[in-house]
Amino acid sequence: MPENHRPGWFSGVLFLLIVGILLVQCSSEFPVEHDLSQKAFRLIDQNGHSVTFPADFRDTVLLVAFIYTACPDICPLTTDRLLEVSKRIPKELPVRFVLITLDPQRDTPQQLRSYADLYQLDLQRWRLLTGTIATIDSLRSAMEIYAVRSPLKKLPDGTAYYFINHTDALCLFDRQGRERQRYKGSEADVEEVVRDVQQLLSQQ
Amino acid sequence: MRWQGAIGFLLLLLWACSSSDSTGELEFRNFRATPGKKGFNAALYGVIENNTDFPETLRTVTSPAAKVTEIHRTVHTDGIAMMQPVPEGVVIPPHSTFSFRPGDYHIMLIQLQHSLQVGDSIEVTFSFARMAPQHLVVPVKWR
Repeated sequence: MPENHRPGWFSGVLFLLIVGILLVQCSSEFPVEHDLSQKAFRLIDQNGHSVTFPADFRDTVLLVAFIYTACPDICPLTTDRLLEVSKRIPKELPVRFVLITLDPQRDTPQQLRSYADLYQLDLQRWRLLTGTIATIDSLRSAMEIYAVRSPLKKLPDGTAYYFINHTDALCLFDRQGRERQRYKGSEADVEEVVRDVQQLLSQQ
Repeated sequence: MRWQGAIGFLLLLLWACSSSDSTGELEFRNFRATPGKKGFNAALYGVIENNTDFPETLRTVTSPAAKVTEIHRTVHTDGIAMMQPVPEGVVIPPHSTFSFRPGDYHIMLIQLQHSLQVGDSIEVTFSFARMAPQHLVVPVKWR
């Protein structure tokens, strides 16, 4: 067995360092859940414009939900929750609302625009994003968002359709592009989310 | 002419009584379809009350508003929302209710034939194991 030749003071410094890190983590109300600040995902918004996520949203607090437009039950609930949150946050605050599709194959920019129209989303504050399958998969992986297609079924006219089993998530990002809080999207407590947004804004 | 009016009123009363009997056995409460664009999917929510002494099974639901209509259930497991088809239908126990509600059992309108907006209404047919099919006109609204 190898002998430990490190001096005694080394262990002490290491201990203090670990305690220090733990104290900083515990004192933060919103620990960093996923740090995307050094990552760049090339996505496309509802108007077909290129968006680099999260860099293009730097200096704004973000609420990000993962949805797909063919989703009939959970995603409308999440969108509805987020819409309620947006109504309670003054427009002049640097807060934006982002919907990222889990179904890039079907959710074209035009489809996302229809979705925005259906919910009457204020596109000054909302962005709906799609991208290549590889990019969306990579973003999902970085954020630990699960999404798997259900088995294909066919309509009477032969058209195939499917649904997606997915993480039911609404994510709060700080101005640096770090995820700081996660909620169950379809059941998010609107008041809690608004409170957290205000608190995060006041911290930065 | 007055007696003709009275007969008409009695016939109307008779019809109303007979239809209230049939709805008395099964009651449909607060059924609504969510809005959606043509080609999108939407959902039907509401409550069915079985006032009989027997369990009743809702086998299928159909509507000309969608290409296909299916009964589904959303199940949450470890933070993941999973859609489960319920092809066998759902059983409504005697003197009980069954709720189709967001995030749980729901009736899915797959690929809307035309856009549904708040204020519209759609025709829906509920088919049961024992009782005759029930036809409803369901409003389109968010809640």
